[in-house]
Amino acid sequence: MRDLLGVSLSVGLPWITGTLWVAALQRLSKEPSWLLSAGYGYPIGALATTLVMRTVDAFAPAWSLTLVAAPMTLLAVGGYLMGRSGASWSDALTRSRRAYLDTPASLRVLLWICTALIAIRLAGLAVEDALRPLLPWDAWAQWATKAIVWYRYGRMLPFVSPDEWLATDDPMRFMDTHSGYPATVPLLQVWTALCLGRWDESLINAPWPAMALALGLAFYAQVRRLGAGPAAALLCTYLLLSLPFLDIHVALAGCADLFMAAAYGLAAMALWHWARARNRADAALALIMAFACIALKMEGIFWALTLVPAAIVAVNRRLGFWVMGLVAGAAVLYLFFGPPEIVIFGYRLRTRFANVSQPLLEHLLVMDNWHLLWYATVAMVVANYRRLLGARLAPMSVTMLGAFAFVFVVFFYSSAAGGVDEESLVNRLPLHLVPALAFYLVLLWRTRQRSSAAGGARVSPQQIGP
Amino acid sequence: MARPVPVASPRGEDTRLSAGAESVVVGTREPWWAIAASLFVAAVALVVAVVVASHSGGNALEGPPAITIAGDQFALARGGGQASEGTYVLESLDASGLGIVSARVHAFAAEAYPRVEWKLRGADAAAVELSFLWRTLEQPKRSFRAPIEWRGEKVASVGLGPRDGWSGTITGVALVVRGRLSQPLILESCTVPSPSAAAAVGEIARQWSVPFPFNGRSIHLPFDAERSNYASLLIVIAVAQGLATAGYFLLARFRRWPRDPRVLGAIFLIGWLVLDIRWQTNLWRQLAQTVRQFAGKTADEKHLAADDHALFELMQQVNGALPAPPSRIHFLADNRVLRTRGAFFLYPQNVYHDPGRERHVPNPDQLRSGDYALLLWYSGLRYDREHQRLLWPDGRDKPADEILSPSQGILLVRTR
Repeated sequence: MRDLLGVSLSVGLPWITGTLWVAALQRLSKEPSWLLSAGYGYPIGALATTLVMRTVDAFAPAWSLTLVAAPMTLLAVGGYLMGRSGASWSDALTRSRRAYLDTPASLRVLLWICTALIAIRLAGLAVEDALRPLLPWDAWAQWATKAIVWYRYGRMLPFVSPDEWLATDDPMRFMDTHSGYPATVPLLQVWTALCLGRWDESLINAPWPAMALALGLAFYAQVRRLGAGPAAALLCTYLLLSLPFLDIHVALAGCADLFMAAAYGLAAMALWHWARARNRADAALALIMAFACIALKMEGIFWALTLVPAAIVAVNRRLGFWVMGLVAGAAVLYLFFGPPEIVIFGYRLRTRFANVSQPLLEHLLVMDNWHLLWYATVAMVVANYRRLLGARLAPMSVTMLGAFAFVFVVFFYSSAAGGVDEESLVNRLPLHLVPALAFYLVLLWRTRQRSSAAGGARVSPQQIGP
Repeated sequence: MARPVPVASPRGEDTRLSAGAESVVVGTREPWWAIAASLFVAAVALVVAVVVASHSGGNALEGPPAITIAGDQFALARGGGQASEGTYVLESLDASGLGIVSARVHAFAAEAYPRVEWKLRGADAAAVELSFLWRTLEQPKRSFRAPIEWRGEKVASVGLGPRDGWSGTITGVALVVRGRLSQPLILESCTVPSPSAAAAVGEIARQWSVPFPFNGRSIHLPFDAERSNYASLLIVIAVAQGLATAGYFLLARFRRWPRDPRVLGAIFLIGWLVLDIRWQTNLWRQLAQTVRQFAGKTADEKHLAADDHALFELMQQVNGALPAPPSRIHFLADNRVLRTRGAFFLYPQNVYHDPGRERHVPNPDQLRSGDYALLLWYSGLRYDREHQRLLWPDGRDKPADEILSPSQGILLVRTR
């Protein structure tokens, strides 16, 4: 019972705080969505929790549950006060209810089937997390190591490189396989342990199923904002959450990749909605989630940078294309005239091509890691290639282009090629872009549907969309 | 609100649409989902038939009998090892990093058997390179060789044909191991499966229903076991969807149906559901296994129930011999997995372990007075009990007191 309370507090307090603040942000929008607030609420609340923990660490001798929970509660109250607007929220609930009632009976069946499939999947994964000790290498070699030390000593003790460790005799300077990795994920584990009142190697992973649920809520809400009906949006959400490699990263918790995928996906979705509607709340959400990318993993800065061209294209398409062209040109020039190797954020960038296409194709198109996602991607892009750089889709397309270019460079022109060849990286980096890609595919589908309708087209799958 | 729109089909049927629909054409007597399902099932059947035919060896219901050579029927040719309980345990490689175990077999015709399966476990797959050798009656002085792609899965399968030299009458087989053996390689058996259409159908059914249990590699490679499949379920579904889509376009053209995107959507979703039902079933199987293994246990009991419980128990012993944290500990082991995993069990002690792949030997001055050194099957340093000193291969030494030595090859010392 105490564990249940602890886990509920560790997930619930950040979630409520984040949701209230996103709801406050949404006061700026014409049609606030409570599901959108809930979906973005957990990652933003979790990020806020780690920022509070860093602040407490800077000013107090050691963390305690009260020292972290009290500011979080104050933040939640602040969010509530900022977002008080009964009328718009009751409107939002009314809209949701009306959308459900307007859904034909057959589609309500589909809606409930998808809800059940998602609930069964997430519940099973959550139980797996609650029972299993840490299993993945990265989880116990570089993430939970920091969490154990910080929880036991009550503060963020420094983790140094192996050479620094050997050079010092300070017993309070620690090391692990990647001492320089960002602190956000271990801090979340420490926070969960603080709520539990003890270190529990299984229950500290409560943020992973919570993040998967939040991703699903946010994805559903953002797809709904594209004009898809509730059943269609829920079907798309089921397709995303049923991806085996995403599920694996929920079930075998402890690595930061799921968080990275959620943060990048949520940032991209908000940015693209901003590009369409210029809603300041979307811009704010995109910025916060881009910051979360940077706070989660070393490569988060690169993921965040892939969002920049979309913003430029959204403001001025011609200028955006010029910027993209210049970046691509600079990359080609580097390949021909650059030094053989440079180090960026610990990654060795090389001008020599490493062909890792065989394991890549095997994992994306032969093994069931992603169900049919990559086949669907190829089919959708080919079927819509004329629309990709049109005014409506250009910002989204350049984001995906940037994301794929990043993966391509890392896989084929960096020291990470070894990791791809050994298959430790081959799925994990693509995972980061998958929620954004899934949303992009929905966008393509919706754009095609609209174009067909506008052109007096033959058919529209009206049963899965308004 | 938009009014329902009646749309005429080429056959004169019409369908009244719900409000909000842009337009819909329904031009067939059969529901769109029935067309999609029929096409999909037919296409899957066609693809499976092709896969079965390519692995039937030309036999319909029954092929030649399967040949199985148990591990303990193998004999050592290079390296070190022994037969044990139906298996062969290859414990070490020779000085050139080579190990070979071989077995004679009742002569059989290679052409009748296009596949050989090796059941293996134990050794670190990334550190070894495996090959399959065989001899034939026709060329008794020559050995033929084919690489075995083994990434740690239980069954490593090799598909063979005349171009590999797999022809004539096979009289002997061997397994060649190159690289480094940080733990023994256990050969359970070598099987030459019987080829026939019926056997291929059964084998495909087995391959597609085999569980994918969670292990340390699942976070990168959840579907590693699919490598040995005749054709992965994903490939079959994807190809079948392509065929079903093409079939639908052809049908629509010849029967003058208007194209209905819902049919394409349904073909896609049915395929996705088939894949996901298998995946959900796997998750349930895994959950049941996880519940059996860990439910109702404390954190320590869970580690004692895990696969690496022996290392955990050992680290508990080490922890018991250490003072309260934080003590500085140099965790020295030749094996990277052992030192990294072992170190994890020692936190929040201040433990150092080399994160590189190769063995690291610290300098004597890096072991400071009061530091602990845990030597776990480590060849970089020796301990001289008589003189109570750690010894480096180049003759350097450091005084150290023995704290714990639970078994041979494991030693905890405290430097003076």
